[in-house]
Amino acid sequence: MITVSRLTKTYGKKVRALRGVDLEIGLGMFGLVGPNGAGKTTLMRILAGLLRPTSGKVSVFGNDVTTGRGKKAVKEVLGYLPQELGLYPDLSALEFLEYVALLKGVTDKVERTKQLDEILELVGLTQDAKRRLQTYSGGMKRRVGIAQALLGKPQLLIVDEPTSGLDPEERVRLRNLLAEMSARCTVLLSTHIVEDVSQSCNDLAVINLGQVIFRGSPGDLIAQARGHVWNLVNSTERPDASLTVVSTMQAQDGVTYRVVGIPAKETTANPVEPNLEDSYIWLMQQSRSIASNSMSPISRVN
Amino acid sequence: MVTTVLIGLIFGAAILINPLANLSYSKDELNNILQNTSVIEKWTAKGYSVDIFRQQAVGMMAETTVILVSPAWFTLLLTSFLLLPAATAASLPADRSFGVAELLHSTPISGGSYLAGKILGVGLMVALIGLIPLGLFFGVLEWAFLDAFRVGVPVDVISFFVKFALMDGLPVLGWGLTIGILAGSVFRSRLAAVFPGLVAGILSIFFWLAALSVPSVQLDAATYFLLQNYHSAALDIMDKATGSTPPPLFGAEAPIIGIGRVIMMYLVIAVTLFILAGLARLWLKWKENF
Repeated sequence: MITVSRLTKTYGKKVRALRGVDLEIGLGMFGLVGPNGAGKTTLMRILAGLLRPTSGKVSVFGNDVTTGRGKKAVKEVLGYLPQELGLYPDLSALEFLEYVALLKGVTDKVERTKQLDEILELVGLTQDAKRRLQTYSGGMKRRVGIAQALLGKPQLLIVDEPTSGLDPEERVRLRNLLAEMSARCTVLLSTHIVEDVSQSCNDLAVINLGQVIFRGSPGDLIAQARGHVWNLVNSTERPDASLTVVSTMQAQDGVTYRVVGIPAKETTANPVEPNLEDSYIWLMQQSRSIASNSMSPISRVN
Repeated sequence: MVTTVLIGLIFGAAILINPLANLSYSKDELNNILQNTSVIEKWTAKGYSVDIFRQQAVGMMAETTVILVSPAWFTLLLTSFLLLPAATAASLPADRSFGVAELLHSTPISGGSYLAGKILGVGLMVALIGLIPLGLFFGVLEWAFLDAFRVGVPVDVISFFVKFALMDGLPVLGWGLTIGILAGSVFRSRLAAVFPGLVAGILSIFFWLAALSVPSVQLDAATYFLLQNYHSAALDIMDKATGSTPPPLFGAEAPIIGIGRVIMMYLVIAVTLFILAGLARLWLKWKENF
C-alpha cells in the first residue's frame, strides 16, 4: 500500500510542482494521468525516493521515503523506469542489465543469469542481447529499460511515460507486459496518453497543476463526462471555441466533429457515449475553468 | 581516454629523454674507462680483479640511473596531474549526460558506495594503463644495460623503481584520479567538468610540493626516503674494496627522514581525500537526494 498525504514540492521559490497531493494506491496496476508539466514525474520521483518532498508524508509499504532508512527499504523492492531513460551506448544490453542486477543486489551469479535469461525472453531481446545499445531502436531501448526495472523481482514497479515515442505495436506490447507484471507486483504507470491507462488500469488518478483532480476507476471518470460529448454531423462551420474538438472527419456533405463540452445549439448535436479520452478532456476543461477562479480540486471519487 | 594516454606517453617520453640521454653518455664514459688499460693496471696493482672493476662499472651506471632518472620520474608523476584529473573529471557527469544517473540512483546502493565504486573502477583502469609506461620504462632500462655491458638491469635498481612505483606512483595516481572524480562530481556535462578537473590538477601540483615535499630538495617524502635509503650492490663492493664510506646521496647537510614521515605523508593524502569525498557525498545527498 502506498499512502501520500498533503504532499508538496516546490522548485526554487516560484515553481510549485505538487500542491498538497493526497493519494492511496493499492495492489495491481495504477494509472497516473495528466498533461505535460502536471507534476506526474515529480510525484513518481518522490515515490521512488529520488526526490525530497518540500512537505507532506509518503509511505511506501510502510516505509517513510523521506528518511534514509525508509528510502533504502523502498529502493530494495523498487523497479524504476525513468521518463528520460539513458543507457551506456558502448555496452551490450546483457552487460548493462548485468551491471544493474549487481547494483540491485543480485550478486549470486546463477540467480543473476536465470533472471537475465527470463527477463530478456519476456521483453523479446534474447536474440539481440549481445548487440551494443547504440545500435538499438527507440522501442528496443525502452524494452531494455523495462528489463532493468524488472531485475531483482521488484514489489513496486514505477514506470514514467514508458510508451512515449513508441510505435503502436511497441506500445501495445509494453502495455500488455506491464499488465502481466501487475499480477505479481504493484505497477504505477504515469502517462499523458489516456489510451494506455484505458487499456490496462482499473484504478487511476488524474493530476493537473500539481493537484489530484480525479481519483477512481475509468468507469467513474467516464460517468462524469456522460452528457458532455457530442457529434456535430455535417457541420458547415467550426464548432464553438468553448468546445474541445477531439476528432474531425471529412465527409462529402460536410464535416463531422466529435466535441467535448456543452454546445450552444444542442439541436444540431447528437450526444454520444464518452470514452476515457473524452472524459479526460472534459475533466481538463472543468479543471481549467475552475483553476482560473481558484486552485481547489474539483472532483474526488472514493 | 586513448587520447589522454597517448598525450601522457608523449609527455612522459619528453621528460625522460634528458636523463636517459645522460645515461647513454655515462655508459660511453664507463666503457672508455673499462677499455683503458692504464686504469685497469692501476686497479690490479691495488689488488682488485678486473671482474670487480667491471662490477663496479655496472654499479656506477646503476647509481647514475637511480640518481638521474628518479627525479625525472617524480617530475613526470607530478606532471600527470595536468592530465589525469582532467580525464577522470568526466566520470560522474558521464552518468548524468548519458541519462543513466537517475536509474542508478533508484537502486539500493548508497551515494557513498557509488562514489567509492567510481573511484575504485577508474583507479583500476588507470593502474592498468599505468602499467604501459612502466613496462616501457623497464624495457628501455634493460636495453640500456644490455647495450652497455651485456648484463641485465641490476636487481637493486629494479627493486628501487618497483618500490618507487608502489610508494610514490600509486599515491600520485590515486590522488590525481580521485581529485578529478570529486572535482567533476558537481557538473552535469562531461565537457563542463574537464576544466575544473584541469584546475584541480594544477592545484594538486602546488599542494604536493608545498605540503608533502622535503624542504630544499623538491621531492616528496616518499621519493626522498627511497633515494636516501637506496644502497646499491656497487656501493657494497666499493665499501669492501676500499674500506671507505660513501657520502650521503643528498650531501652531509641534507635532512634524514624516517618511515614515520612517509606514513605522515600518506595520512595527509588520505585525510584530505576523505574530507573532499565527504563534501562530494554531501553534495550528492543535497542536490540529488542520493
